[in-house]
Amino acid sequence: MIEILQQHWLFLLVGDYPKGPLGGLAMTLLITITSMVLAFPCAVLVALCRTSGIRLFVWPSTAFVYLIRGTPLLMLVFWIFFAGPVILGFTLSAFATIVIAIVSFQTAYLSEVIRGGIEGLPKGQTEAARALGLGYFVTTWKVILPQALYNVIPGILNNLTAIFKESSLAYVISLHELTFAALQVMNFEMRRPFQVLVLLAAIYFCCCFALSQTASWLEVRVARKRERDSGLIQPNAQLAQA
Amino acid sequence: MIVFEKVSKRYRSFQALTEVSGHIRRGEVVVLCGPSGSGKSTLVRTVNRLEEISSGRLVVDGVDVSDRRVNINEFRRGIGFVAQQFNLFPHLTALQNVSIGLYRLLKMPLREAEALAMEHLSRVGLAARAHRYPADLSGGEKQRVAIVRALAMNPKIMLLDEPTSALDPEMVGEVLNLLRTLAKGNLTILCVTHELGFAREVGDTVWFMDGGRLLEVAPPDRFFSSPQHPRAREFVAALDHG
Ligand SMILES: Nc1ncnc2c1ncn2[C@@H]1O[C@H](COP(=O)(O)OP(=O)(O)O)[C@@H](O)[C@H]1O
Ligand SMILES: [Mg+2]
Repeated sequence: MIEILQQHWLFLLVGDYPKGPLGGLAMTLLITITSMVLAFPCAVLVALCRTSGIRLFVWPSTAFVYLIRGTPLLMLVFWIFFAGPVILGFTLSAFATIVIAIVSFQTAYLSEVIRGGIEGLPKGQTEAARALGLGYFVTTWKVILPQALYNVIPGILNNLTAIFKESSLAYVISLHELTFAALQVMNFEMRRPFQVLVLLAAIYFCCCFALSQTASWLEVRVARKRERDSGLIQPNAQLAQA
Repeated sequence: MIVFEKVSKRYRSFQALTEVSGHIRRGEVVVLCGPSGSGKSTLVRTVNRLEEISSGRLVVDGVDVSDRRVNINEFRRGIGFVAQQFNLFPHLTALQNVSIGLYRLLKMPLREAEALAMEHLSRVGLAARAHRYPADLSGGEKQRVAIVRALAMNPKIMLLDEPTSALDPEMVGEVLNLLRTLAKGNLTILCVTHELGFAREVGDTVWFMDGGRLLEVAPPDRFFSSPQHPRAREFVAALDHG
């Protein structure tokens, strides 16, 4: 296995880059990060619509979430891959296809996480802001979101882990990412397919493990901070700790 | 200043307020009392439309509260609201809690807003706490910050809903002292409290509620020495024993 890694590490890391297209783990990370960066604001928007209490916004956003959650991601990929060009009138690159699929998919899930964060805040927060005379937007932007998003950072990280794994579906539309690279290595190393698969699994596992460990570590910190904010710990005890 | 005309409020099948009529003069300090669940919080919250009334008329400083055309945020700016649970914004320092309204609503430059907020905090002896987060303040300090946050907007009316009920006994005094100074000014105050001594000393009028009805309106001395309504008599008797 070490041998395989020694021989193919560069290919697994960046694909044929710089001579050919970017691939391997680098591509997987690129898909993950691009998707996350795009899914996050979309998810915030959907979460705000769902918690707005205004039917015009609640209904479509709720329908969207239910629709996506009842669909396998793979089907979404195929839909965008085959139906996308017909609807749009131009072909989408494989990268765009997988990113659009993951962004739609994760917007639905992430918005639920964020909605939980918004609804989990004490009612008094919105009330205090509105009673001061702050409008909806200032209240949301300055009072609600900073707290709600902070509280769901662990959940957001977990979604990032999910995106990282989901990006492997790009294989089915021949996008050169980590899984694709590994399977090419497998073709090359005909006699050792099992070792290649173990290697692939190990790479995914290490990355995901690191992410989920970070998430649990943050979870403890966030929980502790929330406890402090809700006044369950005496201020003096906290100062002594600090 | 505040006129209730047969104000009723129902939550689905539950009648929280039944035809409450009464008026509060400019500069008057009204102490609202009554057993738990009698509708005190609901009544107070109708004044700044945190609760919409179901029927009747409520006029605050010449403005019909139910009128859809009033700019609700501007209207609320003129009414300070302080709740039992303080509801400070935990992600902002004491200073920012006070300055956010000045900065966002009165559109003061940030520096000026913070300087003014600091002045307000100093006046109530909290200058040294200005840069602390709510989690690092005692209950009494939090409630004083919450009161200052409301006062900073220079309201004509202050609504206080059991401002000392969530405090440890040794902190009640500092908050009552602050409220005493408020009462001496020309603010119109509607305050829910069970602090008898405080009610007698600063209250101009006691309003007694039970079962969603305003049953008795009387000067504090008369109310606490010889309540008229049978329910009020029971209530005062229970207070004297407790
Ligand atoms: N949002 C609500 N939905 C249904 N019932 C409510 C709601 N808010 C308050 N109530 C009911 O209205 C009654 C009066 O409540 P409240 O005004 O808080 O009383 P108080 O402040 O005098 O203790 C209570 O019985 C309470 O259960
Ligand atoms: Mg109450």
